Amino acid sequence: MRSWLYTPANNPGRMIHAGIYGADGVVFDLEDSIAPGEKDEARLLLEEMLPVIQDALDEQGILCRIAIRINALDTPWWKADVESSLKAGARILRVPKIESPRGIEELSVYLTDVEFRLGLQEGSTTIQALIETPRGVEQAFAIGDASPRVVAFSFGAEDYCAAIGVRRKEATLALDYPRARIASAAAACHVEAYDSVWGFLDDPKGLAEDAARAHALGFHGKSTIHPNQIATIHTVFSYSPQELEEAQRIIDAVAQDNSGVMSSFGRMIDKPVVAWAMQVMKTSGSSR
Amino acid sequence: MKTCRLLPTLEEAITLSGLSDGMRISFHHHLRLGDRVVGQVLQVLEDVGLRGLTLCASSLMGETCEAVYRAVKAGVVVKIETTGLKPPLTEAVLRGEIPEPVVFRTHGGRARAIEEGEIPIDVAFIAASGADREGNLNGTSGINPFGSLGYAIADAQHASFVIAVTDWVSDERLAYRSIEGSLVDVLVQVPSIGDCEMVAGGSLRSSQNPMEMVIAHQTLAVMQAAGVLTDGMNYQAGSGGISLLVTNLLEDYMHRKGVVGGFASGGITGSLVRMAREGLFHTLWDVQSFDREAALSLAANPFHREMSASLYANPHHPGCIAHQLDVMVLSATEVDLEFNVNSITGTDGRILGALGGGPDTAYGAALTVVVLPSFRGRIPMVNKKVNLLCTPGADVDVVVTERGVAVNPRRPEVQEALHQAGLAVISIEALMQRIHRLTGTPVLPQPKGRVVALVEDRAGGVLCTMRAPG
Repeated sequence: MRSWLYTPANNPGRMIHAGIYGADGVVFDLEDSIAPGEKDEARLLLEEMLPVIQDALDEQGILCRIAIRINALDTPWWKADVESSLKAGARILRVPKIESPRGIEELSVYLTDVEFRLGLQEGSTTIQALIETPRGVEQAFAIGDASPRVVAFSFGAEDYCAAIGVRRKEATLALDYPRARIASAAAACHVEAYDSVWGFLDDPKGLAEDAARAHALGFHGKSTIHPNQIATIHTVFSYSPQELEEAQRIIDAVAQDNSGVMSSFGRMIDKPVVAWAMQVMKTSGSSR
Repeated sequence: MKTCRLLPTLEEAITLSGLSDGMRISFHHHLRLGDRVVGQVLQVLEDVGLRGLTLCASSLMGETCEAVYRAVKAGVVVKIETTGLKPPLTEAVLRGEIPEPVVFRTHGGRARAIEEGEIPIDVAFIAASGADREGNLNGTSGINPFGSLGYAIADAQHASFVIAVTDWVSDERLAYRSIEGSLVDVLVQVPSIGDCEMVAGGSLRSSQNPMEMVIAHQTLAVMQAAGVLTDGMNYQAGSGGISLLVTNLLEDYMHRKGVVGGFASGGITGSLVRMAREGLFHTLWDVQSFDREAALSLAANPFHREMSASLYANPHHPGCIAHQLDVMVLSATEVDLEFNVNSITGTDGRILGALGGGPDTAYGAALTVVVLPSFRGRIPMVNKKVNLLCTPGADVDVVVTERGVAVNPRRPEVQEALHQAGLAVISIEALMQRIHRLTGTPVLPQPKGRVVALVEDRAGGVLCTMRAPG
């Protein structure tokens, strides 16, 4: 998944269109973009609209995953958020400010309960853990390893920068460490890693650079708050024609010679290289 | 041959013109939102006590509409002929405050009607950014250059009396002339004709709307699949946000694919000037300059040609540029199951847009692509029957919305080409149902009041009428 478009869950006009801009996924937000007094209203709207939105996307043949960002587990709202999300048909929850495996475990237990009550298959709801603090970064592997429900990490750079006292726009170097750590933990846990939003809408060059940095450190995609950023994000997080060609060449070479280590066009091809090529072709969906 | 006289005031010019109650006066709208000539003239007409006039304008927008509304309230103007109008006139029309029905006429239809004597103009008021002492006029020099004077040329040629209004008179003969002094009776210099910086406002917005971007991308894909984006193609897009985005995407496409077009026509933008300068189009046929860059280019670049509204879109003009178009991208406010297009009123009956040259170019273009969002607010824009018929469905080939693409069954070859290219095409009925599932089916207004406006077809017949809510 290359892109996740955040959309407030209290704005029907924006919600109805959110899936058609080409993002790989949409995150309907019950957290920061909804004022405390409007949480109930947003949940009701979500329950009403999500099936309609999903039907419309299906009818148009648009493959766009839908996730819900619930409120953090230290708030009084998260349980109601979970119930509404599952009733609405969502099966991916993005959970803010996860700092330890305990949060994931608590959420998993509650999810199992709600799934049972709603007649859903146990374990069918997955979790994207939002890691937004230095403590969360240090715990990334444990968080990812805490439950098979965890399918991805999402990095929240704004809060991280605030915690370490740097400005987001000038934080390229400061973000290398958490990004690398999260990406590495994601790989260790066999989950995906999505980078933080780039909130400077009038700086498309900055967006491309920020995305490229995250991509180079091992992230699979990036969240966004504006549809006009999707194309840039996809460009950065898609494999280039050269990468696809190289991956296909490696797979072709392996198909002709199963002897283990070999070389092709001057490059040694061993198991990790083959794994990379398989991953490229699987992700791009273009293996012959 | 007329000999132009320079007069000090509009009042003297009007007196000399012989204008009297009940006559027809005309204006162009090249200064768009920046026009201050219509307002000045109407104020003088009211001051000298003229009443019962027909105002024939190429279009009305911005402050001009307020001035016209005041003139209607004062009894100076009793009838309006135009391609479009804006508030407060829009509400005044629906309230039945204009004594006679407004006539919506296309740009080509207006030029035809003037040239064929159907709507004799008694006095034409022509704003010019530059004039010389012979009365030669242009829109390219002076302090308020707005570019082409294309809509005023038929007026200058056929009006009984022509009053040119300018804020800049050259001591030397104008090198670039849009209207020859031999057509001008009197020239009046006023302190200001308006503000040329406001030409590029109104519907000429540069869109950042992601929804419109989705539609624009889809439109480019449709044009590509239909096989019209080839060397020598003649192209036009309307003034709406989506149309302007399509042109921007087309520029990138033509660069990437090495396509060199023939001409681009209609309203000319700075983007099109840049494309012509880069060799992407051989010629720009400019009936109206949409921004300062285009206005300044007109006299400076040999590829940039001024054209009259008649050459542009008069159905009886032998060289009609609109009839040579390969592709036209047209904005709309509503479309129906017969592919009929409404470009004036919304589904709720409010007046939103204008006729412009849409029906002219839709008729003439080999491929007419209508672009519109599937709904605005919660009001769907694809419905069983349009509120107001502006462009017959027979002239429309493809409808593009963000919720799907529909091809007119009259164009099976286009449908097949899009199918071959892998574009998902659905019937217009399915598109409407898809949209109505999200919005609900609208209860359409059924106005029963008196006829407050009528839409003419290009040949001068009545296409449909608009009634007051009643």
